[in-house]
Amino acid sequence: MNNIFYKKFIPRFFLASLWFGFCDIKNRYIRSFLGPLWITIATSIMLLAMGPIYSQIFGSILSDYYPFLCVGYVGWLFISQSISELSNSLVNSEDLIKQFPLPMHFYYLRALIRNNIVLLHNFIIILIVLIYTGDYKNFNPVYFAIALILINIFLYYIGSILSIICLRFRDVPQLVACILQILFFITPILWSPANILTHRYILYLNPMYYVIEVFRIGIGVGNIEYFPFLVLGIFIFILFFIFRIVYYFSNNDIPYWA
Amino acid sequence: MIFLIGLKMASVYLQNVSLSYPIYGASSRSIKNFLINKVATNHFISKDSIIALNSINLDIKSGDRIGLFGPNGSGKSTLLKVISGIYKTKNGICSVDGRTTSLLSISSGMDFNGTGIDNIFSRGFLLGMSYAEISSLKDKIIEFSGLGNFINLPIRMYSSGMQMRLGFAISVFSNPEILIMDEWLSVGDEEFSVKANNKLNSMINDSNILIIASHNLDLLKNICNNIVHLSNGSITNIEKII
Repeated sequence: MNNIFYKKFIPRFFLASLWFGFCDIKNRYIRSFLGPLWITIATSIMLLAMGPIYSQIFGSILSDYYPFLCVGYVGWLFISQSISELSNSLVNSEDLIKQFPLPMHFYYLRALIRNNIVLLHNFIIILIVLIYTGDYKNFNPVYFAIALILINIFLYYIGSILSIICLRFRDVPQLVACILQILFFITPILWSPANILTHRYILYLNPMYYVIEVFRIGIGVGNIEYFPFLVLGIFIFILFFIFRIVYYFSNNDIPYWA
Repeated sequence: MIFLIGLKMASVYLQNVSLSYPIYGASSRSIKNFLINKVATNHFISKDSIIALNSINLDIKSGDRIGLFGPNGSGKSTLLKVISGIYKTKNGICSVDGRTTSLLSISSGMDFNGTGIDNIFSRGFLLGMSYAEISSLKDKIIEFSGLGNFINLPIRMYSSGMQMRLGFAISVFSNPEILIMDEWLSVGDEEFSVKANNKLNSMINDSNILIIASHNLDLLKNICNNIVHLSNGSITNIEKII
C-alpha cells in the first residue's frame, strides 16, 4: 500500500465497518418486521422440541440438559455463521475491492460485527433459559468478556485466512460448509463430553471443542476450567502467524483475484 | 519556510511501474484442479497474463492537471487504479502523497435498501471521509442533489437519474487534494447537469492535482495542462498545453 492517506486513517475504517455492519442488520429488518429475530424464534422452537427428546437419549436430567444444549447451540450458530460469512466476505464484496483501496480488515470486521449483533439477538434464548433454570447465578461478567473476546479473535483469524483462499479458489466455500456440517456432529453441542468413553482423542483433536467449551464457561454453564482458554489462546497465536504468512503472500494479488 | 504552512502540497510519483493482469480461467479457480495439477505434473498451472502497463514514468507535482488519452484497452483505467491504490504494483515505485478521491464509478458501494442519508454516510466512508466531515457536509449534499424529501426513502425507490444525482453529490463534496476521474461525469437533466458541471469545475480548481482519463481530446485540452498519450500500456507522448 503506497497511499499514505489510507495508512494514516485506519481507525476511520473501524468506524466504517461498524457502520456497514449495522446497515447489514438494518437491511434484514427492512422487508420483515422481525428481521433476524426470525432465526431466534426458529431456533427456540427447535430447542424446545429437542430438549425433552435428546435429554432422554443421553440419559440426562432435563433441567441440567437444557442450559447445556441451548448455550451450546446458540454458541455454535454464532461460530459457524461467522466462519462461513467471514470466508465469503471478500467474494461477496468483489465490487468494492475493485473500486476502493480499503484494507481487507474492513470486510472482515464488517462480517464479524454483523454476526455479533445476530448473537445479541439469540442471546434472548440463553437469557430465558438461564433465568428459568436459575443458572444465571453462575454468570461471571469477567469470564464472559474474556470468552467473547477470545472467540472473536479466533473467528477473525480463521475467517480471514479462509476468505483469502475462498477468493482465489471458488470451490472452497462449499468445502468450508461441508466441514462445518461435520464439525457440528463431532463437537459436543447436542451431547455432553462426559458421554464419550472411548476414542476421546477425536474430541481433543477437534478445535471447536475448546471454542464451544470456552463459550459455555463464559456464560456460566459447566465447570470452570482454564484449559480450554489456554488452548484457544494457543490457537489464536498459531493462527495469527498463519494469517500473516497468507496475507504476506496474497495481499498484492487480492484485487486481481476479485 | 513560514509561507509554506497552510499550502497544501500533494504529489504523485511513478517510476518504472509495470502491471500485468493474471488470467484465471474456470479450472484454475478450483482448488481440486490446482492440487491435481500440482501432484500430477509437479508444477502449478501456467499463469497467462495480459500486460496492462509497461514501465510507466510520471512525476506529477502540485497544481498539475493531467489528462490520460488513448484508445480502449490502452491502460488508462488501470493506471488510474494504480494511482488510487487499488492495484499494487510488484515492480516499480508508486508513491502518492495527499488525500485522494477516485471517482471511478459514482454508484458503486451504494446500498439499495438503505435510505439516501444512509448512503451518504456509506459512500462517504468508502471515499475516506470521517464521520464528522460527513455530518457537517450532509445538509449541503442533500441540498445539492435536490432530492428534497426523497432523501429519507430507500434508494431503490429512486429513478436511475436520482440515484446518479445522489452518488454525484456525495462524490463532489469529498474535497480531495488529488482527484482521480475516469471520464467526465455528466449526470441528470439539463438543469442539474449545468449545476453539476459548475460544481465539478470548482472541485477541480480546489484540488491540487487532477488526473482524468478520457476519449475526448477537446475536453482534455480544455481542462488539462499535460496530456499523456497511452497506447498498449506505454506512454507514447506527453503533450504540454499552454
